[in-house]
Amino acid sequence: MSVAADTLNENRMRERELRYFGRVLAGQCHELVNALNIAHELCGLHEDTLPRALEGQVGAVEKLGSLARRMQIQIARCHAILRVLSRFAHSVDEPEGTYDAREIVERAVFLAARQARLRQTELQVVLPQGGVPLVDYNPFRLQQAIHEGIELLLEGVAQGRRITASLTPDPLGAEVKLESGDPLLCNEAAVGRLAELTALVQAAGGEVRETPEDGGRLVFLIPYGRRDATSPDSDTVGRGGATGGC
Amino acid sequence: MSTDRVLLIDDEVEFVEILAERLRARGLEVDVAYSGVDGVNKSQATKFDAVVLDLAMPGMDGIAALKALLAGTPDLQVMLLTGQATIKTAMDATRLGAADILEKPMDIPTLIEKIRDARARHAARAAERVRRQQTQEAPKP
Repeated sequence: MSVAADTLNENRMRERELRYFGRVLAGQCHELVNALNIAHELCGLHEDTLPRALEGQVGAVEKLGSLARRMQIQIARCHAILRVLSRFAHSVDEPEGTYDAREIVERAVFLAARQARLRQTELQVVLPQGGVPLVDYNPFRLQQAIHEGIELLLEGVAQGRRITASLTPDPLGAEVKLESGDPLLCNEAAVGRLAELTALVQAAGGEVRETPEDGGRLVFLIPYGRRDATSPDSDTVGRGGATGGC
Repeated sequence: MSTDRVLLIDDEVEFVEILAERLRARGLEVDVAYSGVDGVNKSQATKFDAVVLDLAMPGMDGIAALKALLAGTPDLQVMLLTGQATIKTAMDATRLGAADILEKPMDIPTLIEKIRDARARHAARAAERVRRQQTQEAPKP
């Protein structure tokens, strides 16, 4: 492949990463705004209740206590979002290396939860007990692959269903399974996105083992042993993944 | 003057419940819906002076709900109350007939003022509609 083609591929990958980063950031900003709006109304209700408590009205003091506790819940919600968002933002700068796959999968699922909720779909994460599954991977791209995989399944999933993201140890690495039970939406855009997702997984040294055309199941392997990052058209292409039909 | 009747539609249950409680404490008659579909159904069953509608909701979003609300009752005063409005969304909503675009968080006196303005517009539009109908129906000399 020519240098120009390599550069073009790299630029496309960067653009896609930036779009993903923007989607996550915008979604989490909305979540923060929602929590802050609730806190704002709770403060307002606290202010409304205070004169009644000062007058000694029955139940008013207890209500002030209850409102304060509810405010703490919203503050904790904001802290949880910001903790994950901060780790996510730092992952952009983190080099390829050895990471705990559980933490990355959990974070990616947390960040995709808003999109799932807006599609009236529940997201569930199942992580292995004991033994830390360390993987050699680019953490940002792994999050992106999981998130884009969830987005792909969300397009085909029926309302009220659940998507499960699970992590299973494998002799060669750690296997990420995304399952909805509903087949992939069969259109050109979905097939194109599946091909892009396959390329993303492979570019970071992973391998797509199962695609969701029939059973709504996307499986990819993250290797234990370090592999050199490869371009989408390297020799890893074709070992699995999108074949262009559904 | 009768009580202002307002419908709040928002999927953030806690937010809408607290807001409803604060408005009720100020003398407004408030009903709530936690989804666009539920809100549209309630609006068809009961007459409201104003509807305060969230934009980003699962299932039927604010824009789709706005269309459905106005399809049933074109004079209805629907105000979007959102923390996520973009200029494009605001323009789309205004073009579709939204009475106002309000930004969260909004202080209660301002929100009540907006609701009362909406009620006055609602009454004026309804009166205008009746006047037009009477003009059309009146026998020509």
